[in-house]
Amino acid sequence: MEISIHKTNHKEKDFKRDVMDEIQENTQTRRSFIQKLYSDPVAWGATFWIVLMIGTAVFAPFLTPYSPVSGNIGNRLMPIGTPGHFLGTDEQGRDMITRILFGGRMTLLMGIVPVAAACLVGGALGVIAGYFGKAVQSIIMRCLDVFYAFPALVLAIAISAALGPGVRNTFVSLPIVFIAPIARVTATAVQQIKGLEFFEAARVSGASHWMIIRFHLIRNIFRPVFAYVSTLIGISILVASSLSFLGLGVTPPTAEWGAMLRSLQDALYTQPTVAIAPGVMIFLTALAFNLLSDSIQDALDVRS
Amino acid sequence: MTASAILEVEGLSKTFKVKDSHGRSKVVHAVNDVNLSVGRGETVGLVGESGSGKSTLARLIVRLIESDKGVVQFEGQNLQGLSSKEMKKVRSKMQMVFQDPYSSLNPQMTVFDNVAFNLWVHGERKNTNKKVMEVLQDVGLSQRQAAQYPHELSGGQRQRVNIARALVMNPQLVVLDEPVSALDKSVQAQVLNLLQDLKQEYGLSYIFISHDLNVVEYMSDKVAIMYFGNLVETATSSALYGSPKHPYTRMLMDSIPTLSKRDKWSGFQSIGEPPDPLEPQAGCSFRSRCLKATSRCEAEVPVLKNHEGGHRVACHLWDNSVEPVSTIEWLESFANSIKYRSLFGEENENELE
Repeated sequence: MEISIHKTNHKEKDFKRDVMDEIQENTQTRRSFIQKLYSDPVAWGATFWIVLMIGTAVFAPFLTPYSPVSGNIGNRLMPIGTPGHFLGTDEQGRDMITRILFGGRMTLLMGIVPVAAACLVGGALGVIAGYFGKAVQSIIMRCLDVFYAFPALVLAIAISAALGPGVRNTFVSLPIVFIAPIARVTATAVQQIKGLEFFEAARVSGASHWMIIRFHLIRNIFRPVFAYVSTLIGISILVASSLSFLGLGVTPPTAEWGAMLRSLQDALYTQPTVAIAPGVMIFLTALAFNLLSDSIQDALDVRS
Repeated sequence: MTASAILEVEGLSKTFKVKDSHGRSKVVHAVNDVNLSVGRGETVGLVGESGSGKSTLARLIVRLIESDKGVVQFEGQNLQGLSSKEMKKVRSKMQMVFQDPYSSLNPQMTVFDNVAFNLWVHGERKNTNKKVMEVLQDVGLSQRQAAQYPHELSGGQRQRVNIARALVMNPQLVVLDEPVSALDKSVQAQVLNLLQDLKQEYGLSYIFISHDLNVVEYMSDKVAIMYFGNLVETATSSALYGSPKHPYTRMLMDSIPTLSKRDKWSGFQSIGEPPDPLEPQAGCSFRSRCLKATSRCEAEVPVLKNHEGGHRVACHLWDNSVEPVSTIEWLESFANSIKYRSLFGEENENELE
């Protein structure tokens, strides 16, 4: 029953070196986050698509000879495969490829920026609500419950309508829509972690709230919150597109995939393949973001 | 308080407000007027059923929850009313080991980081590596395991990490809240021996909480029996296990399953359930399960009173400091034990052959 404790009496320097070697060795045998992502083909595919979209959006002016806002009215609604206009032209004779390249700029911004902004605000609110006890939680969550009275799209429409159409106002209305759900998901994740004993252990050690939040809380809620937030990027693109579609987001003639869908809706019967092209782009981009987020979550799991 | 006491608890009470099934708010006395002292280098065992308030008492002592009443003195310093800055200094000398080896370690941090966190909290950046690795060696973990994540370790190894985390600050007192009850028997023995060795090496005092009487007997110098938020009996380990006095203690002793034929404390077999904490009964809280309960037990709450030496009991039956079992009862039990012995003794011998 007696257990002997093996104590090796290294000299201090040797000891330290051994320790560091050992830790380094161990971290080398453990696959890092990047290594895990590297071996995931889905992550490769999704990253390829997102990088392609960002790249083409940034370098759009160099990739096409046409202008995104003016076209030749004589070339209206050319079918896919027309020489010079590979994806055809829209209802004003503008080249579709050009429109999609330039539209990607706005659409990607609409997907990432509002979600990132909402994540900062909603995440902070959720952490505060979940961490600092019942009273604080009640106040914050009851205030946010107001936003749950409306469906996401209706809320976005209402705020955008109140602020007036335009890109800038979309960047205000979209984050507001996402703050409440992100805060709720975060608060729930915090509460699940908060009941665990390592939290109490941290408090017994005398750690400040900030230390506990930084080392114990954020690391443990990151995965579930990230999983939820990444699905919002696709939704954000779709809601922004819907706002454009309703005339509340991007104003014509600026190219944006949602706005393009709207302006091409009358062409659905005459040139359906051209009309759905922006929709296909929205679908593929939203899908790429969701798949990449799945891969990142798997790679972040220390258990895998 | 005595000069050698490292921790002195006086009149500590804690009530929780809860709602019963009808939505009425009720008060539960989780810990009720508890007095306890822990000497330097001493291990005090705290025994009780689940729900007896022993874990609450532990959390009150390390001030994870605030008490309603009473004083906790650590090294002569009253902890109640200390600012969080002053408390932080005390916390490095008073640590806790938790029950559940699975939820008590941060799954996203390596073993090394889990232990080193305590040093970071106290701003010790120097020699972090050395200190952590030394304490990990002391608890019997290899350098390899320092870089692993908690899910890669077994329950026993995790509990060693837990102990290492408590010891890395060089504490004086460690509160062990059921440190082995989640472990296999064989691993329990290893961890208990480890705790004994570490106590010598680090010069620690322990408060050892458990519901396992055998384990407490092995570990403790002094034992306190807790029932329903009250201490009902405190004594040195040998006195308590040699001659338990409180009917509840005797009931617990009788419920220890043993291979050898331990003498039963006649008349104190386990009956009934603990009373509903939402509907506390007047008088002695144990009287509904006590075969010796009298009308006095219904009316009057017994208090801890001193008997021979440091043996203290909270029971009216012991007011006259004599064995409360009548001679006839004793004779009966004696006769029974003889009968038992002859019956089973022979059978056992046959089996052995």
